[in-house]
Amino acid sequence: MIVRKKMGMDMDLLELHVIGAVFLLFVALLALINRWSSRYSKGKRSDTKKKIYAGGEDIRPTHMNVPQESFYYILIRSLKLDKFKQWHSGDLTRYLVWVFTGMVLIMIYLLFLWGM
Amino acid sequence: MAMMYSFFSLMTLLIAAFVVPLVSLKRERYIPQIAIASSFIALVFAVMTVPFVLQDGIIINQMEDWSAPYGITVAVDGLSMLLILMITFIGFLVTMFSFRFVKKRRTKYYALLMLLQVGLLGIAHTGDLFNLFVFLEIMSIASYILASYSRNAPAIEGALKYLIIGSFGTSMMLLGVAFLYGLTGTLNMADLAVKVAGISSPILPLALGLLITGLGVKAAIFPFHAWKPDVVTVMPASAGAMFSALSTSIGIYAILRIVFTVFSGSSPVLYYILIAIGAVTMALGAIMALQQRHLLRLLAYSAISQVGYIMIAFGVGGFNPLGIQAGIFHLFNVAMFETLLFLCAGIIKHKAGTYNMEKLGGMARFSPVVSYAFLIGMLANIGIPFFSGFSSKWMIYIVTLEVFPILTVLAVVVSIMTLLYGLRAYALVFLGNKNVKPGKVKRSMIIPVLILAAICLLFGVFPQLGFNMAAFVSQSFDNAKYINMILMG
Repeated sequence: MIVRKKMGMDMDLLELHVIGAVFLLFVALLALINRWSSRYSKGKRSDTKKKIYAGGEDIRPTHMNVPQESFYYILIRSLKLDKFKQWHSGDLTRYLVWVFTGMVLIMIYLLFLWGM
Repeated sequence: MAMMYSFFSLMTLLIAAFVVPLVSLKRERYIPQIAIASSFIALVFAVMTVPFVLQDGIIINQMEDWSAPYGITVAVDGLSMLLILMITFIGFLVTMFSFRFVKKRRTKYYALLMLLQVGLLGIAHTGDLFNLFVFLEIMSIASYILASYSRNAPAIEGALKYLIIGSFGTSMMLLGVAFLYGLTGTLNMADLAVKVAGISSPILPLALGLLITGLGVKAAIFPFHAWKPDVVTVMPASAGAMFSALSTSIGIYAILRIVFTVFSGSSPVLYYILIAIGAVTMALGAIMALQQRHLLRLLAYSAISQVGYIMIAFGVGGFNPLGIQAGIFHLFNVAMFETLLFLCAGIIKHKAGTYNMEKLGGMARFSPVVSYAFLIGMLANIGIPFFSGFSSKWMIYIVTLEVFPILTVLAVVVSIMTLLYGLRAYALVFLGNKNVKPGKVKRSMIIPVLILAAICLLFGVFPQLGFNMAAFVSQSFDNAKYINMILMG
């Protein structure tokens, strides 16, 4: 079902619908697994069990808060992503250096690859 | 005869921006109502223009019948029509939202909000570079003052930063315009396109570099983006929503006009630069969003990341026309879900008193409507099926796969990062055990949020709407038609 060919567009709408359907099936499957697993769970029923993040364990609410900065600790530290945060320090001089350097690089690129 | 009603949108808001301070001398309590009515009239005028653009493709008005390139040209084609509709629609919703949200210094707030829209609408209407610069300045000055609205130290600092960086950008732009005028003797974009095609001079890339720098600052693309989170976080969230979504869109629009209209087909080098800037902007925005604890900063970096997607799509559009359509569709989607997320953040701050996600939590129990609306906006942002961002992102994946597969890999990786920070933000603000009781949210704040959430769902469930819109708007990139219509009438 190729649509809108007359408008010069060869996007297959069916493709999007298939992806949507697969996504819905995936969500339905997760819901079923959740239902089955809760039926066979051996943990005691409690109020905290129903809370977010409890995951079937009895955890006190005070222990459930996830520290912001280290939420993706391994990802951020192992890939050194926190370096980028240091570059966005809020320092105006640093920002102006970024802007100026960017402008110079764009101009060099354009002059050498297009202008000459 | 084709009527450019959309220009009355601009005039309505311009007049209202000056009427508001006058009325406030006697009846300050009527200010929000005047602003809402003006925004609604502006939206109606914009909608009234649509049939003419659909019929003729482009409508042109030469001021005082001075023909181009000597007079001032006002031109509305599919692309500018889309921008005009977005500006007036989001402008109306934000003004409605502000009714109960903004309680202090309303006169200044509404006057500046309308001047901001005037600047944005002027850029979308104009057919020449100098007026583009003038309207860009109107928009910028209104936003500098809006940034300092709170009058506290961070607000003054944010406003000063934006004032200095923004002034640098607009100065560079003016310099670029001056170079082009010196070289060609014209400022009309259609006439410039004709003359630039016949010139070979190192001044041209220099002028283009200056223009991209100036407009890049406004669009907050890498490496000109760093000011945006600092500024958006100190504005009232309502103004921040409009500013973040629309100033970026209009910056991209102006870059497109320069690259695709004035310098059309000069060299594929121009498209490579859009792709390169887009790729870095997309990745850097997501990396920074991952590390935020301030909700508005997270949304600001997320917005920067989405601009990267748009730039990539338009850059790839130089090689495959489907990229242009993908870029247009994503530009529209980003404006909608970004405004939605900012307005939801505004409600959160309004009721819970903070943007710090560490101090927020459990709000879904007390504000389920806001919670669902935020979730819809975030799922659209991530690009989950049946939400608006999915279809446009999918188009970007497809088109980059055909031209530069490495970009597809990068785009998918960034989407996964968006999933990480998006769902984390939702979980921390709305789920969990903390008892942040936000109280009842006013109807005038909920209605705009619901409308935007409905749009995110509508364009997600029926992506054909977006594809058809993008296909029509992409006809604006037919440069020969644009030039002929303006110069030949």
